[in-house]
Amino acid sequence: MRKGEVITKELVVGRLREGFYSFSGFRVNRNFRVDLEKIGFDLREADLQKADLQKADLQRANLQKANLRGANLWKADLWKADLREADLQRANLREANLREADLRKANLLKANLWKANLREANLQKADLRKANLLKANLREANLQKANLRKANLWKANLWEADLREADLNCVFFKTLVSKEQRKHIMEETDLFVVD
Amino acid sequence: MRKAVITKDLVVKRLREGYYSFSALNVNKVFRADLKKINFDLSGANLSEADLSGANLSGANLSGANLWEANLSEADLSGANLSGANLWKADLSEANLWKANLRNAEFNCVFCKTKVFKAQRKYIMEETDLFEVVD
Repeated sequence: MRKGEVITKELVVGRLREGFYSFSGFRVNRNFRVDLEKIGFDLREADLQKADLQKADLQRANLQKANLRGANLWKADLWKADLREADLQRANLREANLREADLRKANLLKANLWKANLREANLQKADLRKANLLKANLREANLQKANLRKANLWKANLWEADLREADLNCVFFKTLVSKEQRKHIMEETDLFVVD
Repeated sequence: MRKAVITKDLVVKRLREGYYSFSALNVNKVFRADLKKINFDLSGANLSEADLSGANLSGANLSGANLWEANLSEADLSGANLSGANLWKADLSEANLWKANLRNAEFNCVFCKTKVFKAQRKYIMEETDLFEVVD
């Protein structure tokens, strides 16, 4: 299996049977994307570093602790995917569907989440430092204890998101919040030291 | 001059020549400390991506300055004139904005333990474009 080679269902089945979980830098073929849910692959701890998974159908996929560093997940459908403790550093998740995804303790440092749908996603203790969340939908997401330091929240929707104990030293601009959330950000975070 | 360290002499020379662009430059420590004494008029200056961390800019005139992605962490901007300044993605962590003029400044920046007084916090939170409040 060479770099740049297209991953086919047969190839993956064979490799998984042999106990290999590394698909780093490989492209996923269209049929494989569609079949992934049916096959019910357990991709826990799989090495998918820099993999091209754009528009991949990964609904409910188990990607717990998977290495997706720098992976291209543009417009990927990760609805209800299990991404707990997954490494998504610098991954391209632009316009990805992460609705109700489990991203607890996921590493999203510098990830591109431009216009991503994170509605009702669980991002508890996730590392979102310097992530690009421009126009991302975080409505009703759980951001408890998440680290959003220097993340870009321009025009992001935080309405009814749980912000308790989150590090919110990030870039706000036209960020959609409720009155209570603004009050919380204003008074209970450490954005300002007031004299 | 890109990536060079700004020294006091270099800045004096450039300002005399009418250049106000110090984009992406590192400001040398001595110069940072001396900024207040020099009392430069930096209105309209291009200080984008400049490292001004810990700089003493109290009372400085930075009106209309471009501070895009500038590092202003721990800088003293008390009483500075930041009216109309562009602070897009600038880092104001632990900076002192006490009594600075913030009118019409672009505040799409990083706040963390930034020192302000109550009215300023109210202004930043309610009168700028930081949030769109829905109920």
